[in-house]
Amino acid sequence: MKRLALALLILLFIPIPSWAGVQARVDRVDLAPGETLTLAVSIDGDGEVDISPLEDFSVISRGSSTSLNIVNGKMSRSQELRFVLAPKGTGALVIPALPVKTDDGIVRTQPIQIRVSPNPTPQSRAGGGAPDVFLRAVVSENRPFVGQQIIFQLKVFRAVRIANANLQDLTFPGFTSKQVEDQKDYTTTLDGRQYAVTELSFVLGPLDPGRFELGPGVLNCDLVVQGRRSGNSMFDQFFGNDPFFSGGRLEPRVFQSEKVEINVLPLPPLIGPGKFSGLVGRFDFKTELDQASVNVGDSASFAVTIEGQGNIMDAGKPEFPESDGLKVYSDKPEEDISLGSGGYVGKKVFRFALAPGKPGRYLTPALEMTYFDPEQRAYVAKKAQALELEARPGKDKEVQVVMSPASPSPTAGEGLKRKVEFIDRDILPLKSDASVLASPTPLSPTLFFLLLLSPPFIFVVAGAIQRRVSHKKDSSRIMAERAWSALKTAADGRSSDQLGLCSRAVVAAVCSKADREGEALTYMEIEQLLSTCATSELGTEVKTFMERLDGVRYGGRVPERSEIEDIINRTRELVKTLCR
Amino acid sequence: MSMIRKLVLLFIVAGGLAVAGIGGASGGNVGALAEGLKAYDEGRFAEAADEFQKLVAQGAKNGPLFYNLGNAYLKAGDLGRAVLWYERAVKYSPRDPDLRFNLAHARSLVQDEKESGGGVLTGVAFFWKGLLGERSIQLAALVSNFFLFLALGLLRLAGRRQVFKGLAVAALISTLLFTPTALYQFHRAEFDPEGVILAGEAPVRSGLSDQAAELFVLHAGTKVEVQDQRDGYVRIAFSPEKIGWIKKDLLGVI
Repeated sequence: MKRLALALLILLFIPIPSWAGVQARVDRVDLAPGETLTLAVSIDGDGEVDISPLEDFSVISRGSSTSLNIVNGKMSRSQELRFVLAPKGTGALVIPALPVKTDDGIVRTQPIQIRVSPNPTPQSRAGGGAPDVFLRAVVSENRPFVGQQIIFQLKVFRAVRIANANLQDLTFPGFTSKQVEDQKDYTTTLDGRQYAVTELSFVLGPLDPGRFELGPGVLNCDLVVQGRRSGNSMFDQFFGNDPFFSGGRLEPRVFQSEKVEINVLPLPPLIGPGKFSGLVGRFDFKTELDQASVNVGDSASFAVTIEGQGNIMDAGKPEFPESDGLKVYSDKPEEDISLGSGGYVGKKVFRFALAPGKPGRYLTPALEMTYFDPEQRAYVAKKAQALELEARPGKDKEVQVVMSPASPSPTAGEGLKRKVEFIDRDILPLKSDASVLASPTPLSPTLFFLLLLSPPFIFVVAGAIQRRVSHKKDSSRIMAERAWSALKTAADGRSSDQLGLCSRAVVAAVCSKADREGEALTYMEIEQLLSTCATSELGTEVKTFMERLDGVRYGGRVPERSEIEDIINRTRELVKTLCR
Repeated sequence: MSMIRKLVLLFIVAGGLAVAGIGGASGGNVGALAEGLKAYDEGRFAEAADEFQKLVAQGAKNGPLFYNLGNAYLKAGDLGRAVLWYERAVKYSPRDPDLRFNLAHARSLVQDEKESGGGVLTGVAFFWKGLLGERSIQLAALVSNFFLFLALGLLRLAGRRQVFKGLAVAALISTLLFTPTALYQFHRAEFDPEGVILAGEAPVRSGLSDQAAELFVLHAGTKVEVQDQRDGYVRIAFSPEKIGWIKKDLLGVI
């Protein structure tokens, strides 16, 4: 078994005689359609390979590796460039001599003969039957017209397990393309063998007439090759065909589909009246009014609907000429288009708001739409009937243009609310009142701060003044209260020093009048204070009374009751006068 | 009570002085206004803008006049100056619906897409500043402040009466609301003014010369923050990541 493996490894890369320093070799020389080979070019040192002479093969992928060798202390560097090639046809093909640019100049590789059989090779078949893995590309129409949508399908058939599958991106020059998002997975039986199939679909739209080739689709993957322990053992039944457990291995492979030829036909010339809408497919065309009569100032919604299968998204806005007395405002078209396995299907609705300017009967134009039907291979013209709109006299109000769609057949309470959108954009007019001339004095930061701090400043100053005023008032009030208190005690007769109390009351009253505090005053002080804060007569009068009072107090005799009462009464009068 | 009356009178006089300091006699030239309106109606928008500019030169400063200037420049095809004058008008009449409509239209014509910048905190803290004009906010701050101290004075003189307490609380809230906003506006005007690109294309450079590297290009109507002015150049910030120097005559300060 080891010998067999060694032999296979030796056979894997068949060395081809080459020029010194450059060597080209392939991993196989016999291929079946859809299979690939690996071309390896080894270069001693650095170099570049020109693969432009490769006419019979497509380059699927490329890679490179570099190695360093030290032999007897001498270091050498070598490079290997690998190309995965897919044959473009069958029969005897040639990998021509490829120029390699090295440090020593341009060196050419030796040509290599490759045989591509028209039938699958026995190695790629299970028991000589159908191949294990293959790709198939089909198109729904090989002779489409410009603009006609066609479906390109790429099917990957797998009878064995593959891993790390990677489908190279497909490009379609000369076509608009859109992949249908939903890929299909199903199983099918071919030649008695069951395949798992993955189907990818693309909707293509030819842009120009001519011949085109679509594809090929290329699949890079690892083929799961059964190991020595294959069979129906209990082990295999438990772990399935997992290469890790079954002793299998992964073999990198590239598969590709055949190309599909397409001949895109030009659209025939349109003969007769009408204007081609640019639509290719099959479509319906209709017009409708949401209401048959409106008041002047109101508007009705006129809808033009194009519906069908084909390049519906390219439908342009129909022309709606304005007539005398009827204003027409167009809205953004509504689109309801979906992409399915059959291509684009849906509808496009163009709405116009019709606003009559005066009462009367108006007719919408009999709009016409011409499209190309690929099945009939002819142009089809569809015409809508003119619709009548009656305008009733309305109230004097501005025309309100309602641009958003109404429901096709609004019932009571439904579809009454409509979104109002801008028809045009402009600015509002100038202002011309007297406010335009106003020029208020600017408020500088300094002035603002001054005005801001004024109230607290005034508050603080006023508080200080108030406290000062309050203080003065308190001295006078306190002394007055003392005067009345002393007089009251003297008058109630319970004190033995009634005259002393009267003297204290008069002194306190004088202090109250003079707005000062004090306990004792001389006759001179009393006279001077009162002369200052009242009158000199009052000062003299109070001084005289105080002399009399002290005379009685300190005269050495006991005053009579009436005399004491007289002094008390006199004291009350003076206190009243002084504390007023 | 005579003392209370005196103090109240004192506060009222002080308040009156404050208000008198804000107001001012309106002036201007009616002829220039009429000429401007006429030129605008006749489609001579550039001439209309010149006439309105005369009013500004004569000292007229108000939202409606700046709005008219914005209209005239927009119609004349000068998007940069149109946005500049609309933005200036916003300072006086932020709630004017005509102004908001026209400014929105002008902004929709500006090429440069606005990039998120700073000022989130101040935007949240002073969210009401867009509801009132700058002068209204300043006036509200001063009047609130006046009534706050008037209420405090009355409370001190007439005792703790409920009505004075209510007045004091309301005035305090109003003062705390408007005074920081007014101070913030003064700060912005003094230290962080905003500007509008006037030229159709304004290269923003890394330094103060035409040889400095061109960092990016702004277009007419784009609003930027003005950070510094030096040697005929203005340092601007379009966003926190896009800062540079621009020639002074390519920009108008709001």
